[in-house]
Amino acid sequence: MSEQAMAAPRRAAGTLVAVSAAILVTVILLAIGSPNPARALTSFFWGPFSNRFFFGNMIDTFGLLILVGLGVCAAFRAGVFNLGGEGQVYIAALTTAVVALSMPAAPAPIGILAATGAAVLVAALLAGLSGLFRWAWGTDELITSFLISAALVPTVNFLIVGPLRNPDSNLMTTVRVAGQFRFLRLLPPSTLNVSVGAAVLLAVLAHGFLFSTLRGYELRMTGLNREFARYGGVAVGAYTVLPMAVSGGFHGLAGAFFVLGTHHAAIEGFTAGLGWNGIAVALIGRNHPLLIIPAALVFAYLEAGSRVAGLQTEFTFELAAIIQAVIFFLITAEIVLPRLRRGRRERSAP
Amino acid sequence: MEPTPEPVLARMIVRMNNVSTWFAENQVLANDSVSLSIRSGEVHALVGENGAGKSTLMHVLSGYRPPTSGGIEIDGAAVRFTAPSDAIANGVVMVHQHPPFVPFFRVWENLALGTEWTTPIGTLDRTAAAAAIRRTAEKYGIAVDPDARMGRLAASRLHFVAVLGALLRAPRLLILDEPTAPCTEPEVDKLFAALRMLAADGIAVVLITHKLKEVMQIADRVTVMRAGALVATVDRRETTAAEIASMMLGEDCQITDLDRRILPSPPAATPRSTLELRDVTVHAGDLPVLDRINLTATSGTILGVTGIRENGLEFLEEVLSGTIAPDAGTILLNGIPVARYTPRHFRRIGISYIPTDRILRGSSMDSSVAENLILLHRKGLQRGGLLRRKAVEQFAEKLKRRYDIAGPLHQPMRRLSGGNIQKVILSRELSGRRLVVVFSEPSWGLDIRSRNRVYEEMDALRSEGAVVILISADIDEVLSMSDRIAVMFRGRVAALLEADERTRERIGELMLGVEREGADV
Amino acid sequence: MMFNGVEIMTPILLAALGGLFAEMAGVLNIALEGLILIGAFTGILVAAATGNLAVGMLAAAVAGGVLAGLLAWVTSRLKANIFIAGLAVNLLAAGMIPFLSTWMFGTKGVLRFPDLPRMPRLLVGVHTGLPLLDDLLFGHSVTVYLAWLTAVIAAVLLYRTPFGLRLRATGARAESAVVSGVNAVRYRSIAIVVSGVAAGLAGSTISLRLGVYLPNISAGRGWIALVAIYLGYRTPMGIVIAALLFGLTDSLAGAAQGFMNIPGTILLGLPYAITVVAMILYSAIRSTKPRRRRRRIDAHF
Repeated sequence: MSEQAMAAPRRAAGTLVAVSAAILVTVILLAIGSPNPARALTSFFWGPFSNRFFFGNMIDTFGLLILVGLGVCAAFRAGVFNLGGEGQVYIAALTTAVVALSMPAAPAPIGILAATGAAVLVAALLAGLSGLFRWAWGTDELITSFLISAALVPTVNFLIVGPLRNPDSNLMTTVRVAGQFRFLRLLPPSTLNVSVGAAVLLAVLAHGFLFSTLRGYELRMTGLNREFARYGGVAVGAYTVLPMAVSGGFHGLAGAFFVLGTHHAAIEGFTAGLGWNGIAVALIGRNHPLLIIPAALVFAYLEAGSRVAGLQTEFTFELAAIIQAVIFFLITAEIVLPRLRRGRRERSAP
Repeated sequence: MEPTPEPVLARMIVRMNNVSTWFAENQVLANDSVSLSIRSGEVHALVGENGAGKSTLMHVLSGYRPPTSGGIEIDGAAVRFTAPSDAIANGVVMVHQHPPFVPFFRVWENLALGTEWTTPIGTLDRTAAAAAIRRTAEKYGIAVDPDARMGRLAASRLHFVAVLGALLRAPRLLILDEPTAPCTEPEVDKLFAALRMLAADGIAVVLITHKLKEVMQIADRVTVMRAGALVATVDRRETTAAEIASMMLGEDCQITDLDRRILPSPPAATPRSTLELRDVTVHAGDLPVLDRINLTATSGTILGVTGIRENGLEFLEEVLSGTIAPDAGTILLNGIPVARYTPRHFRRIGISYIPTDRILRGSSMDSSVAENLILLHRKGLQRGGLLRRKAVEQFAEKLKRRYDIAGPLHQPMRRLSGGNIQKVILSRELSGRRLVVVFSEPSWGLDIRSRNRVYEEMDALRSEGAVVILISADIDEVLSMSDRIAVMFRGRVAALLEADERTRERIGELMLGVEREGADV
Repeated sequence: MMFNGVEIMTPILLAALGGLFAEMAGVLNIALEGLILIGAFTGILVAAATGNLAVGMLAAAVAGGVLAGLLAWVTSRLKANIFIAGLAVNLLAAGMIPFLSTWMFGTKGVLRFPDLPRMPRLLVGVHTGLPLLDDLLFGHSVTVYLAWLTAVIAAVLLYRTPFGLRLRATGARAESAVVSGVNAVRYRSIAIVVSGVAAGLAGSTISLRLGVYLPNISAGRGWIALVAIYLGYRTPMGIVIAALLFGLTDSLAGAAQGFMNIPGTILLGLPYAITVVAMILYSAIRSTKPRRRRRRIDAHF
């Protein structure tokens, strides 16, 4: 029996416990906090399937979650950690809006390509910078990626609320991008659009890259044992900086799709939580690109449920953050059913 | 040294009853119902091949790992150890194979850990700790400065300090796991003298080793283990080294006696390639750890480099593998200076390397055996960036068969024994270009069968005309394998010895810096 | 400005000193931010309910300790990843506080407590004749002196007691502790709880000094504290200096805001920006010596 086969039940148990605990906590909070617990719980569980609008929005979120999940996975697999996804998505979204708004008359392919490309580039640069510092001076990329993002988020807020604000709207939002740049909606009035297909396709491609190509092999070897990879002549420096940049790039793509597909404009704080969700999805999917697809679906459902529950009972709070918290607490835990419990992890050689 | 006669009233102090230890993670029964008794005042040698279960058994006895079944009695009373602290409280103290010290702590801080001396207000009492350390050190003839930084001590000293630390806990049973591995002969004698004194004081000593010479030198009784089971416990005076060896290995295995090994004559052809170190210097901080090293290795010969650890061997390994660049000097391959000091470039120009650290550097323990095998050949197994699954499988299968690596190729490296891990590394390193091969401590921790395999490979490389460099702190290994031997002392080549001028004693003296003539070879 | 800087440094100093215990035990506690937030919320709530600042601070310390204890439990017992579980603490704080706030007060916005007693000040009106020194030393909130006292206590505990020796051994090389009969897991857990207590306390000093609770009142101080640990070379005295530097820069930036006409929103990112720049500079300077070798090692980039 291979190690993976042995570890599979333990991992499955961990994931199951984490997701169930998250649902349980949500139920408890809705029950004690909502003025109408029965209605809140029904909305939470059935809301996402109750009409085209909610269902379509959930699938739209699913696509975005795949992208951020892949972003986190790209760094994780190389043994680096991108904690700045939250800000990278936001900054990329604003970049998309700015570029698209600057060329309102451009033909669709050019405008979309320019806006998306700029967003991916900006986010990749931001994350790649942290990789670069790590490579050059050993600066902890986990902390710098978070801090760089956190430092820039207020500036994005300022731009949306200030100079770029749409004066005709009550919302803190930019002007909507030109019609030809907006992705085709699949299930109106929901925000579901064609980008979800691209996300699924990218997950499949990422899987192929990771497990069937030379570069994917080198990246995984670097992530599993940096010293070993270097000894084998792998350019570990490149696999420190590039995966961070690729990670940023995926987050940037999510930001671009969020504007071109979902909202058609950049709204203050509208990407909040997407970066953290990416980490949750990557962890539920055990950093496996194909498993990230179902993981994103589960998470999209949880989030849609809490959103519907909030809308229908007028009791809104950061349920998403709490769901993330519960999942983060337990997802990496070794939750072992008593019969599968193994001895202490020690060197096996006697 | 003559072992002292066994004390007349040998009080039985420790008894292990039917101890079994099962490693669930790699499905190994490391101890199979082992029963063993250890008496106070005796030196009890525990011998067996690697993987025989010696260390595991003693980990159980010292509270480091609970047994799966079976129990321990001390003076007739059953005890249960769930952590080393329990064992220490019962007078059972183990000195591990690689004593884990904190390098930037001072000696007294390391030794005080766990049994701290305190002042009346509860703060650490350095003076009391240092005094206690000096007292015990003097008694057993161990020289140590309590205020020295641990990281500054030579590897061979670490065991003395570790033994000292164990003695400070007033043990009734002291367990030593391969304490002589990094020691020179004079140091071994010193350590054994201390052990004899301990035994004379009524302390029971268990010595884990696989060096039969040492067993015959010091032990009162010998317990032999094989494949997790106890073969026999015998009185040292009633047995011979050959008898113990056959118990260790089973009937079917031939022993290579390193002392009597005859080196095959070198190939007559003129050298095809050379690897030359010219004034290679490496600094760590302000100190030179390699000081103007000049050495030339030619094809068809084995250049042995030996010395006590901390005298430059480890830095030589790093330089010869391209892991670090020399601060001054050059390495020349066939007269051409190497362009860049990176493992990547060294591989490209044909310098292969078997690292000392097979776990952290030589393997990716969480990857499959196949993924470990293809590391160096990955570029030949791809087409258009895609790894060809079939080619990967065939390549791995070929190496597995040629080096008889145990188990399926898709299992993780973590599951392999030490010998098989080394086989994976050897097969990977030796299956490409074999121009220059650097072996660093290639047989360290391997059992006799696996060792022989390594030596066969080295001989094969030598006779086909490769440049072979063997870096090893094991004098016997270097003596029997090398055509020429360079002895390192304090970062310099103390001497370069040709075939006719070398003896164990001479090398031992050079290693310790007794002689400095010929330093500028 | 010096005066303000010292007041601003206090929560950073407290949290960093706590984080130092975790760091010494080998744990990078990225949950400090969330623990500060919990401390700030609990502290002001309990202080307002009891009318006693000290009780509020005690409650904040307990809340921080309990939450950190949970973190220690999942990482030691369930072997959860400390970074991911640490993020969980931060997210839990970000999620639970608005929930509790809405539940109890009907709003997740600013909470005002007009009846809260004012934080007492010590050594008011003492002068040495040197204004800068006066601003540094005298007339500060009690919490400032509490933080300084904590630095001294931390130094003694870490370097002069068996507890500190065991803690440092655990962090430096866990096996060395284990073979010496020290329960490394327990010491790591204790260190995480200590960091939680200190971060909780740090949080309460922020909200109690202001007399209000604002959403996200911690404003990145937990992250700054983490960086202060590195900048202070992982010593209590170094951390005091690093925290003071952060405090001074922050108050300087506040003063600069007025005449440089930078929008206030952008300045919210400033603490993060200063911290990341400091961290990068620090690692760049520190690695100048080994850099030559490091560069060569990785030169095949």
